[in-house]
Amino acid sequence: MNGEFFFPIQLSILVACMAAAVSLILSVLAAYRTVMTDGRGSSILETVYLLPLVLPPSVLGFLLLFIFGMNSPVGRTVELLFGQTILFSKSAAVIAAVIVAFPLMYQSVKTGFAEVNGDIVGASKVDGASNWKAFYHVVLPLAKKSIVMGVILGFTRALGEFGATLMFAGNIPGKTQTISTAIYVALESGESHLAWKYAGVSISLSFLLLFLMKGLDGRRD
Amino acid sequence: MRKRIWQFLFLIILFAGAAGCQSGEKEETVITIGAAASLKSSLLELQQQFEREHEDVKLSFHLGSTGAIRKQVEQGAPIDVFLAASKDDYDSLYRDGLVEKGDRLVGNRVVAVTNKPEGIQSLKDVWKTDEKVVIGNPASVPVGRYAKELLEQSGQWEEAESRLIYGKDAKHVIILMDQGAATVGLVYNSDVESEHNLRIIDFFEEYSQEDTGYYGARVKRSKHQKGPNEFLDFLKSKEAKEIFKKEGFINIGE
Repeated sequence: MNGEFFFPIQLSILVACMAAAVSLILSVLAAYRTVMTDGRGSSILETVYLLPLVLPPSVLGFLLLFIFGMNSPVGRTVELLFGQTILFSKSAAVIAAVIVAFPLMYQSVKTGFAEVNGDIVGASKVDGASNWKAFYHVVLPLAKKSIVMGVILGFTRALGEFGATLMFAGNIPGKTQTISTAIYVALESGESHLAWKYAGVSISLSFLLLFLMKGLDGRRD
Repeated sequence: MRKRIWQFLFLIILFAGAAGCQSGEKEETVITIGAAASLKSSLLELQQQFEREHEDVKLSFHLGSTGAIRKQVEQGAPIDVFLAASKDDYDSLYRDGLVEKGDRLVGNRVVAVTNKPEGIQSLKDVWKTDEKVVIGNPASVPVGRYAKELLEQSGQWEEAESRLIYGKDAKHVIILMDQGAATVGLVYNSDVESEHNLRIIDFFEEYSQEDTGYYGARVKRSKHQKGPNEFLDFLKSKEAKEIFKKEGFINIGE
């Protein structure tokens, strides 16, 4: 019983960790590109980045199901390569979580990059730093706080992801059932005490993370 | 350098192959049942019984709304057996050639219930008051569609329409009543079983309700043949019928 109870919690945390890692790389790259190009020609791209923030998760789930489904070339290619479909797998849960975590992380990282004083970057280049070196040794460290906040925000969002996950990764206990989908089933089948327990875990985890972020935000450096 | 990469790739393929063989040697097959979430408690009981009798087959459940599971089967999600809470969803998949011929496994009845201790004895009484009535949304929820049909067939739709509230699924209908948004609701008989504060005021006895219930079929794309068929046969067995009956479902032919 205990293993059964804790599985969705472990899986949610695992999925959120992986999703946060992937989104971090993507959002640093995307934010770097946006800041470097001064926003020229990137307004459409930026809109696309932010779309998952406002789309209903069930729509995202439906799109993912369609893109990776057996009727699409993408879905068939994946099956050919790996011998099984990505639907109803842990990878599907991670993909869904990345998509919802990304916009939040991107926003935060972009703000961080934009706040870095251009003169400092310029000075490092005068001293002979390449674009990459200036970015790695100057911009990244100066934007650290925003990046960390973005990671926490994205992680917390990934932790609570429900709609897209249910549609795309399924809801199989011991395989793809996360805290959110476990709550859904518990409510549907009238086990409100179980739903409350999971809700408690979910609220505590999210509270803790957001509290951590608030603390970080208030710190002057 | 390039040689290294090839060696590395080769090793990965080797490991993947070995892992594949290992899982192939396992004698246990795991089959995934995509089922309406309202079946959960029955399914857990059925699973115990079934796995005791079939040691080589393990069941895993994917629970959701029937409409969503239908979409997932359409897109080739790895589901072996589809257990639908509505005839339409099963029919549609069968028509598209995505599931094999299945059966109506167990019946159910839509009944009218109230949580008001006195005053309302039948649906007719409701129309004399200004009480709200909650049903599932007929556009998306099977129990709502059946409820609408029953109200139409019994000539009460006109009176009902102005006081209707729509719930997003069968459970939500009951939650709305618990929260006091309505005092009368149309729900499945099987949902009333565990709700002690609800009193049935109308069984709609004069209507046969031939479509309500659960439909089961093997998904054609499934890689397993034996497991799904054994499970579907089991659902029609005497033991399964007893479990269904206990949960408030109505067995076919009773």
